[in-house]
Amino acid sequence: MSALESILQEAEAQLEKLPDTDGAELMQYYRDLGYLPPTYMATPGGKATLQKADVAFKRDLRASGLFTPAQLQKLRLMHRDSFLLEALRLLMDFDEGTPLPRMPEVGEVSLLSRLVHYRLFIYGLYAHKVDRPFGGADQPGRKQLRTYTGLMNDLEAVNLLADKEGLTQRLLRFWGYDEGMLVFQISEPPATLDPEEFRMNRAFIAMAKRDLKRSPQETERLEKAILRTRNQNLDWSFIYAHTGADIYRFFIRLIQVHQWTSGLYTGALNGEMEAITLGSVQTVVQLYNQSDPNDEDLHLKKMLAYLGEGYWVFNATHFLKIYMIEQGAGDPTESKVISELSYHADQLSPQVQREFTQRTQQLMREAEEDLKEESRDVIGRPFRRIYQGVKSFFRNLFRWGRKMVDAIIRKAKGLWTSLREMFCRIIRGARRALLAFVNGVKMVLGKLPLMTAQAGEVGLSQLELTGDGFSVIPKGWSAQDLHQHRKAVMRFENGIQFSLMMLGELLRFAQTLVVGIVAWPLLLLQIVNSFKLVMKKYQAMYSTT
Amino acid sequence: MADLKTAVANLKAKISDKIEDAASLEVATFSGTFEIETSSLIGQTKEDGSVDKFSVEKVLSSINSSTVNSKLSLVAYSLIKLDGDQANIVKSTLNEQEKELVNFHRQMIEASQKSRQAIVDMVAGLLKIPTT
Repeated sequence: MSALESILQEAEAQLEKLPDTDGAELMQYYRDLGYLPPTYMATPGGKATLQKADVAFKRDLRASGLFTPAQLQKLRLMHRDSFLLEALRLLMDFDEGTPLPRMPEVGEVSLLSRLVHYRLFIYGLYAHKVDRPFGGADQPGRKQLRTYTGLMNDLEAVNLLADKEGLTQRLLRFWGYDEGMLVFQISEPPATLDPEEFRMNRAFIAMAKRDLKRSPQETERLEKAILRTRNQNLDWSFIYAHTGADIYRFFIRLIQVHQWTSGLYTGALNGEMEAITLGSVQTVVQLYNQSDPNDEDLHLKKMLAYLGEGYWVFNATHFLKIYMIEQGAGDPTESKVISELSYHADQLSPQVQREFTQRTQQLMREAEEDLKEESRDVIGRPFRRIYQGVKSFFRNLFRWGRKMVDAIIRKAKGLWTSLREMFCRIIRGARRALLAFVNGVKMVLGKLPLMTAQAGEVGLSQLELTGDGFSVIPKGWSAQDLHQHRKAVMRFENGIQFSLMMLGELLRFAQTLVVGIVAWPLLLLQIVNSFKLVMKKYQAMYSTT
Repeated sequence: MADLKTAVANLKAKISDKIEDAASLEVATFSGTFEIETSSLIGQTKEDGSVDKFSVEKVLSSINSSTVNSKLSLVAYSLIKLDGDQANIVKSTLNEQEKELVNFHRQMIEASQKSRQAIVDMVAGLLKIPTT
């Protein structure tokens, strides 16, 4: 069997094995937006409910003005059966979410009202049913949001919630210099944080003063109250009064969303600095320090200090500034991360490459388990949910560069979770990519005929790599039967074009390799990557036609 | 699993071989019936226990074979050369269904041309040759 056929066989085997998560993902979004009841689970009997949700969402999507008819047409052309899911992914993104064109009218229940409620809910500003009419229960949350963002225009403020970077910048500008030192109480810190080691120290104070230098008044106030070495003469009335302040909770929410979107947090988005939140902050600091030896290390003790009696202070301004510096450092895409990983893996010695292969296979298995778990989702476990948006997640991974391969081999704590999340994301899109790949290779091998059955008789068409084609059409077929076959041929021909473009991408990538990677999971990543790159080209084509 | 580099070399060789044959394009449309045994469509289990995924190829070859050809009648055939020369054969007397088939045949030519263009684009992309 040739190497090519062996890869084809492996691809087909994977295709049969890969969990199909589209349905679970779609249902989750429907539940989030109130198109399905929160307790809805897929059962044969529940099919009608799901169909009703499909119909309602489609109707609302068309009426919403969120996409122009041309954009919707483009989504349909590109994503066919999964176009509703793709539309939802764009709408539920917190990095570059689709901007709402207008605020809903009072009393309106629509996709717009649901999205406003959902975005407020994620940031802890709304705690009612997402499908309630707009303008009642959401008023207090919108008012709070105006206060937090300093924006008087509700539409601008709600759209900012779907742009995490913009929101962070805005919050830092408005509140970072006055309220960025979060005082909180925690009964059980993570076992990895010894409170006594984190007693207030000069490094924390110096950093706080630097971050607050634009606000001398606040600096003075904090100096009197909490910025005191060894916690001498702390102002406990200040501490008690400020613990759990609403603006602090909003800061913590934002940190949790950052951590969640970076693949480092799977706890609840609740605005509480609990052990899991604090633990994830500790992880991100460790990962930052391990990833690039050329960068100055971060020191958690400069951002976190223990005040006593279970009270702590966290310099959120500094922490969020680090996120913003990272985000300003460019926009590494998924494609760059995968290419980086493949490039460095390609250069390993055969023995190390075997270890690397075993680890990536393990990642793949674990990711598949996660996805199976996800499809059993979700009642009573609010935030093992899919995050839409890739910028911050892949930026976080891209920092690792060459060290990503070592980290996989030694199963680096912290990064492993992110990598597992990456594999989950890849697998979610892998079925379509693999199918396109398999069809492309079969086309090259001359093994891809198209047969359709109409009126109990089979018609056949084949296009060959040279461009030759032939058809055999049953004598008994009506014009309608032939029409159906013709439609199938057109779809088939479009599919072939797509598959060949994708193979071209893959071959171009393979030309850059020195040795030739052997690990199947990495090849899968690259296939998915090629698929996405071609999808982007198609998107550009449809945008200009 | 075989390494990607070898597979890529196979793939490129395969494409290069085919491209050499692509100086002309042939499209044929037949009318007729062919019988396919269900067993030929389902993957056959081989001696080593693996399943032959491509048994459909046997179906194709059986259709092309002289034993089955007698059941098929050619409705249209086109030969298009790269220099633009074109030859067409169309059955002389066409019934209603066959007229529809001639329309379908034209669409198959378009599809074939697009498919070949996709191959040319792919090869050109690999060699970084601009295409129009």
